[in-house]
Amino acid sequence: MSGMSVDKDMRSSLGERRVREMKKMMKKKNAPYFFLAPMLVLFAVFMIYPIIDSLILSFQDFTEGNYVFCGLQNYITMFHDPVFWKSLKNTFIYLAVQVPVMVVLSLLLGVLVEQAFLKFRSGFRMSIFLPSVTALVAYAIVFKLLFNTDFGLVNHALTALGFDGVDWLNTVWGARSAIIIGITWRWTGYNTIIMIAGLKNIPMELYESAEIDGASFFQKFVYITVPMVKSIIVFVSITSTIGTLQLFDESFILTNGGPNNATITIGHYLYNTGFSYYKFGYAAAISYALVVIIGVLSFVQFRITKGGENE
Amino acid sequence: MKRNLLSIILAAAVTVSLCACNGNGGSSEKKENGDGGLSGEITVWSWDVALAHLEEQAEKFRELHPDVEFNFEEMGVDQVYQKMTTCLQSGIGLPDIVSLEGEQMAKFGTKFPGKFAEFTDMINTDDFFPIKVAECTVDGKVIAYPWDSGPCGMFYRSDLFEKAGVKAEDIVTWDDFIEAGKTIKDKTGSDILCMAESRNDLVYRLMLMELGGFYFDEEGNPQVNSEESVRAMEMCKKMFDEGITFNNSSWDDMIAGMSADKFACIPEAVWMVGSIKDAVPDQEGKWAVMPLPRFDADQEPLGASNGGSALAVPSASENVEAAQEFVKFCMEDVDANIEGFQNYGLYPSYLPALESEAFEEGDEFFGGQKIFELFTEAGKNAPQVNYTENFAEALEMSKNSVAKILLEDEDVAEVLDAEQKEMEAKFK
Repeated sequence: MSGMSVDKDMRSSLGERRVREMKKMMKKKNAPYFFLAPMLVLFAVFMIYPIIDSLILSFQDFTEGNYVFCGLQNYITMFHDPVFWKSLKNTFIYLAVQVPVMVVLSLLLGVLVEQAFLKFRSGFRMSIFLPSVTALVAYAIVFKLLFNTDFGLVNHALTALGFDGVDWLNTVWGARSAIIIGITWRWTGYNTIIMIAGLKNIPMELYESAEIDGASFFQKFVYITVPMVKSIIVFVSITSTIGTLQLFDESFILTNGGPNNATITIGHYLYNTGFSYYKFGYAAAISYALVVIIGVLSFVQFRITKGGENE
Repeated sequence: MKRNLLSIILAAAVTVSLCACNGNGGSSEKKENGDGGLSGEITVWSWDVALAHLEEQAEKFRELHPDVEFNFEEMGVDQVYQKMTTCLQSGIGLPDIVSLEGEQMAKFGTKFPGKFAEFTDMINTDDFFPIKVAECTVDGKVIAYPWDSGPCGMFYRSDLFEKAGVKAEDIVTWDDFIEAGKTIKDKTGSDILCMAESRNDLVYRLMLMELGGFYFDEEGNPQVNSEESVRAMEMCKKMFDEGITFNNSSWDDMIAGMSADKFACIPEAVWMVGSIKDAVPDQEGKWAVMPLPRFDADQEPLGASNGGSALAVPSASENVEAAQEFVKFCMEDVDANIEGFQNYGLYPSYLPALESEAFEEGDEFFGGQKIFELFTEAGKNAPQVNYTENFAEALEMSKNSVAKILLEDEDVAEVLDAEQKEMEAKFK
């Protein structure tokens, strides 16, 4: 019994000493670092290290099992690579067509869903949001079937309405349209929910006073709603721009980049270069080109809209 | 203060890496038991039927070598490649045996030299299809065992042929084939060939092989603007221009087209036998096979090949010897090869197995036709093409050239010259 209590005493004194040491180590000033440490470690390992390593990688060439320093060769290759330019062009086509359409659509949908007379509002909201939680592969396969030339529902509907069917996935613009329709379907709901969050913050008094002044629905939308959610619109445009620049899945699963690379995105080409052709250095160089493009575009967008701040 | 933080991070990193080393180093036990027989634990990565077949063979192998334990991990083809890529780079977590597609072997062998155990002294290369040995040979070393093969033939709908009054025996050259295609289109409304011109270059690639050409020459240099290549591409264009081809955008599209009688022929490897049976079981007796048409009636054509796999042993394995013995056991056993063929449709590359009676039987689905003699013949005649480390990228470029020439009506010679230039720039 006594032995045990001695043991216990020793242990508690040991514990106390440790606590004292800890107290000495942790001062008010540095305490936050200890709390941040787990996150910082994760951030360093999974973000900072890969970012730096891939930058180094972009100056290397992977041959015969070794990484060999090759200077700017990867970047030079990139500037002469027709597929890279084509993928860049495709990505910008998606960007130019899809982002404005989606932003407008999501704002309109948000306004409609928030109308006071609407019943089953949460049901509508959910059904609008549902596409963005659908499993990617399932969505791509369903779209593949919908856009099938001979058996697809889309062409079936078109012919029923008296139009000619479109060879969606086998023609340049058919395939591009299919991808644009696909991403719009998938991401509009997600952006609508963000828009709704912004719309809810608009004070009702503004609308009420406008109504007293005799403003129409359209006037209220243009002069109250749009200015009041401007920062949200900027946010949605920037995230959608980044998302579109990084687009991969639709090109990979829906069209496989074809026909003749008409639908391949930078993300998809990057993946092919790295994981199919094993040119890891070149893939890293492409990814850095993408980083620069995204950075520049976001900066420009931010500048033009002044970060969504109202002057 | 910052030093403190740094030291904590470092300590954590050291601890983690120490643990990792421990886990790795602890398992290096003795590799042979007292009798000098084989022992050890062997991990196998493979996909569906291939894995199932290896599992069955492992049972038999264990009767001879009871001290060898097996550990089978099933994964999809893409998953195998992804895991192999990361594991080969880090050198950690590699299996003892892995199945890879034959066309990809050259890429793995060249990009990761010395990472696969050599079979050069174990294998008698004369016992296998030459094309399969070529797939498994990198830098003069055999780094994998040829497994199932993909000799090609022309699958055709005998009922549609009959309806149109076309006889398969009369089709010798591609020109005959095109004439037959016009008749079939007239009489039945079906296209003669599923070509997937927007997504695939298979017809062009098979024609190219028949002519003894390929994307690359023996040294691995691109040669897509060669005489053979232009000839093959022009034949594709001629066929497309007649409006007798079906442009499917994917495999699923082809399956849907099959059941809707959209086309009468599929040029494909022998493994298509199983796929046709699975896809359209109600078309039993309506299919048959003929050799691929050739370019010149009076010239024996070379065979063409597409697909099939190989079995490799990463040299990082702790049980290389046992793993290699098991691979040889599976690949060079006549019965094992026949079982793989009969149970799982794995068409062997091993010639002694192909001589057995199992391959002389007729197939009811194909109206009792003895279809396999034809494939074995094609396999023996297929040229030993050099796939090189760049096959995957060259294939993409070639697909794009087909799409450009057929769908965008560009000039054959110009497109192929441009493709050659692009390849020369990229494959330095």
